[in-house]
Amino acid sequence: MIQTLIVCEKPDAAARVARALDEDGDPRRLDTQGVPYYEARRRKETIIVCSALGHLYSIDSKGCAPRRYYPVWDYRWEPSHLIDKKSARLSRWIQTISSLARNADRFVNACDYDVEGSLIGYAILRYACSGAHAKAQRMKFSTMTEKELQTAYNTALPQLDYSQVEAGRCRHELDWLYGINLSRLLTESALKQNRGYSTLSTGRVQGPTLKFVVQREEEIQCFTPTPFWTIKATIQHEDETYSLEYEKEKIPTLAEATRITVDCKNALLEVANIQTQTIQQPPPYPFDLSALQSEAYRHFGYTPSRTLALAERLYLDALISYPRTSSQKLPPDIGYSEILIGIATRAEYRSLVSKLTNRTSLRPNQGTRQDPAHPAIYPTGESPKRRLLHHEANLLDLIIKRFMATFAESGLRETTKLILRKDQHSFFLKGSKLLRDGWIEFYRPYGSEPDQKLPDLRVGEKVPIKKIDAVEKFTEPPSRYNPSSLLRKMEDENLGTKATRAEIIEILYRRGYIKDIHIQATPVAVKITSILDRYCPLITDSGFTSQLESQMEEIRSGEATRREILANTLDRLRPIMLHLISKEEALGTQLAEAAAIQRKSNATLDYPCPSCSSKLTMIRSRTSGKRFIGCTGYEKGCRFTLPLPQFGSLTVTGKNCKVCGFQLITTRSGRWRSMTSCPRCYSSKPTKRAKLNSMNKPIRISSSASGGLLESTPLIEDQ
Amino acid sequence: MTCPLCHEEIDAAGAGYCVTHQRAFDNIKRAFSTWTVAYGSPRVPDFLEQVQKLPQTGLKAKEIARFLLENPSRWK
Repeated sequence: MIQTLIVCEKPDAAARVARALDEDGDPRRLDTQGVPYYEARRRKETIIVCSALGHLYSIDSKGCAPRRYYPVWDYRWEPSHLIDKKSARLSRWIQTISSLARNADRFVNACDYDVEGSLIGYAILRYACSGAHAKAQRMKFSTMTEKELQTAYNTALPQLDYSQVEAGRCRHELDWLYGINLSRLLTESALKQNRGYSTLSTGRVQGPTLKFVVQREEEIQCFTPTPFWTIKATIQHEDETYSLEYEKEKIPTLAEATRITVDCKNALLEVANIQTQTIQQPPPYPFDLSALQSEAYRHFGYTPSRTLALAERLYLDALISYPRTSSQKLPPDIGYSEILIGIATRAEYRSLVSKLTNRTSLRPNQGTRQDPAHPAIYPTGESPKRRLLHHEANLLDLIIKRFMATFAESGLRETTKLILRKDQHSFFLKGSKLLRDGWIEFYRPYGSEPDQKLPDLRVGEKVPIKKIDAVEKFTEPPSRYNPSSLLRKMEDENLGTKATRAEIIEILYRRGYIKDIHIQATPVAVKITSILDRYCPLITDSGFTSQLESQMEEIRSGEATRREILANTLDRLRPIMLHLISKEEALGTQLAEAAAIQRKSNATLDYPCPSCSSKLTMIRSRTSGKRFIGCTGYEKGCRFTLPLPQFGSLTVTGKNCKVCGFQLITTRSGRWRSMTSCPRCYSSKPTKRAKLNSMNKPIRISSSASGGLLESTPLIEDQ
Repeated sequence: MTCPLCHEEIDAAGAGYCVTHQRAFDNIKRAFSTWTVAYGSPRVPDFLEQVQKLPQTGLKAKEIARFLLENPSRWK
């Protein structure tokens, strides 16, 4: 009997693959050292399905150079648990896979079909399965449905997809060379100044991304507003009031604005013209990952990384296709009708699906973007086998409705513009009405705009101005990036990949370079960017990184080799590093100062001490090691303290608690969602109890650091 | 030479401030000409007072405005 070893990317994927390939759909779940794997039976074949836990192998420097040494140019691929202590459990996974590989006759890589998946499978087959990569096959699939997995297994590619593997290796190696050298240099040069330790990092994608935020921050910081005026006018018709737009959106001088209001005060406006236009609104394109992330942010407020995590969950449950795609195309072989029939098994979509299936042909409205590995994101039509969490259900609903909308006909909207005149002054009244729902019906509530009513006026009719004012306004600074718009900017500039962009933004948050949802660059981020800009502008040049991305695409398409790209890049990186090392002292002084300021400002609250009005700050007790909020007026006798969460990194936000007005603190811990809460009443939402407390009860505040109950502070008094 | 506001080194020849404050200074000067057209001829101190109070004004621009109010000779 032949024994086949299939390597998957995650345990959930392994379970699904095993279930799809087992004759009875009931594979045996086995376990070695807590590492699960599955045994599926098929005619004269035993299939062992094991999984990785993401990357089991990573890059480390060759030889015995200390971890703080730089520059480093020699590297090798090593088991991740030997490089990072946090990955210790991965050693059991490698051991288990190695022992399973000893009995295998045939090897198949069934990791996600993209650069990362191909590399994960390749590294396991090469290093843990004693060079089995040379004879391994590759399963290619875009959904985790049983049918597609079975087809992918039966028609597996005869060898690994080496172009993707090489592109993946090149990306990891370049990122490591850039990241390790530059980050060690920044951190160590600051540390040598003996002003405390801060992890300072930059990288091939991180540097230019941070520069976008810093540039925007500088624009905002240096912004000086200029005045302009708008004309606010209303008319009344049949008991309804309508707001008018003046022909000029902005009036540049006070004199002109005053003249308009004087000319038109109590004037009779005559309807000079009515312009009507019918606009066709074509259906949206199917979702690629960035469009999904952007739409999920717009409608649900999910950050890009969260949307990706939710989409991956839905993919592993075989509810949607592979989400890390840049394609806007839905090829017919995915089976439009079958998917729609599947969707119709859910009552809420049945009537919409029947409207689509009644049509003679199904043709999606597709965009131009393509992805060689996967189609656009689409629902598989399968029903959830478990109760979905609220956020997962939201995202699935969005994807299903978008999929249906792409097959629907265009919407028709009639827009009407009434032009009202008084001498040389023109005012507009704009309205719109949906004539035909088209795709909007399928995409509701995500794509609908309310109708705007207009008064029933005809050309030549006159209507008096009810009110007219010139409103003084000032120009606004450019808006800050949010996670979604920053991700879009990265995509526009071709920085990173669809799989890595959200993670890069998360890293910037974790490092303390950016903060808040409306992203602000912190002083240390401004300093690092200015230093890199001054001493090695290539590192923060988005054009250079974008060029590297294109070169990696060339590896994927077979137009370039990994060795060529690595050699070229090293030729550029080496002189940069040598130049930076020669300026280490100057760099270190500036960085250490910025890092010290940041550490201090990160720990200081804007909200004053309720007892003595001094500044409050986050303190770690030297005796107990615990963190708490303490008053800087301690030496003057103030003993005000508040407890703090003891795990995760803490950030003082710019927001205040709605219950007690105290400054909110955000806690980030590992891969958990960040939590924003009030250290004073410990409520992320104003609960009844907290409200009650804030209204009439004093809060007893204890300090773990001092080990006793220190004071009772009536909340009402210091509001 | 260092910037009178943040004591950073001044890179560019002929500049009176560090890169960021110089940019804020240039913005304020440019804005003043727009304000002059918009309101007639405002007095420089009134303009600087007003700019300082506006919520849209950036932090560096506010610093420059305050500095120019205290050092009118720097308004060239």
